[in-house]
Amino acid sequence: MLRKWTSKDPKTEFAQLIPKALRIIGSNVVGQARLLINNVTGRLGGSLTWAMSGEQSEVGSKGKGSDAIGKPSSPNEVWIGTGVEYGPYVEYHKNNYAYLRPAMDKNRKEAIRLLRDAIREDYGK
Amino acid sequence: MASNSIEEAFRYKLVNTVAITNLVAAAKIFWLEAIPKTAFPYLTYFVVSDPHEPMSFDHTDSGQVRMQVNIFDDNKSRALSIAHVVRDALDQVSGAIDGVTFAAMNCKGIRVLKQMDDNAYQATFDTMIQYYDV
Repeated sequence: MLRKWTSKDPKTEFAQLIPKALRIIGSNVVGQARLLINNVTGRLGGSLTWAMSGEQSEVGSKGKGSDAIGKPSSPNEVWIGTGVEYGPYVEYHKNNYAYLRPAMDKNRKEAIRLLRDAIREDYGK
Repeated sequence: MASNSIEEAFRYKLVNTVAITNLVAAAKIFWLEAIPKTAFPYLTYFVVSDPHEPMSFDHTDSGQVRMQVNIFDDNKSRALSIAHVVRDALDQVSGAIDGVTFAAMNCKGIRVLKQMDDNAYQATFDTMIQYYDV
């Protein structure tokens, strides 16, 4: 069911959509980063997760509970990463095995579209 | 001969900047990976991502790339200080470089990692490059 845009307090209404968009952006970046990882055990890809101030995605089936990352304090941020200790070594490896930055770069332009889609889904065109 | 790729133009800038070659000889600046047993310090660079990759190739090229620059040394503070010099020499550079027009080059923060296989320190930073007319 579509929500009705009251326009009495558009700032508050818009703020309610941000977590939804951040959740989608986090999931997209994690999903694409997993595709870029060439990892034998699957733990690094499985450990990738996103976190917002009030919630955190579950780590993948091959990750561990201890792979969780911290959470931002701002409700307008999403953190994406891994708690696996060798994660940075793979990301910045001298032979270029980067997985997070390419996924993030690819989604940078997408973020605006995702936010727009979230608004359309809730309020219609 | 003018550069045919953003990597070639970037290398041209590196090896023709005296502030950089005073610290890392041009022969020790490598694309992707150093020649085995190269003496420290040495520098490597490569494209990590190209988020604005052109949709088609028509004798011109343009876009934006994230270039990773790495300085390897067995001395942590020296690796870091060289990285600062290299970053300062590259940051905000624009204009024609060996046939490629750099619209903007914005460098990011420096991180230091300890390599597990050869005990070297890796001081690394990214630079976002917007370019056209390759």
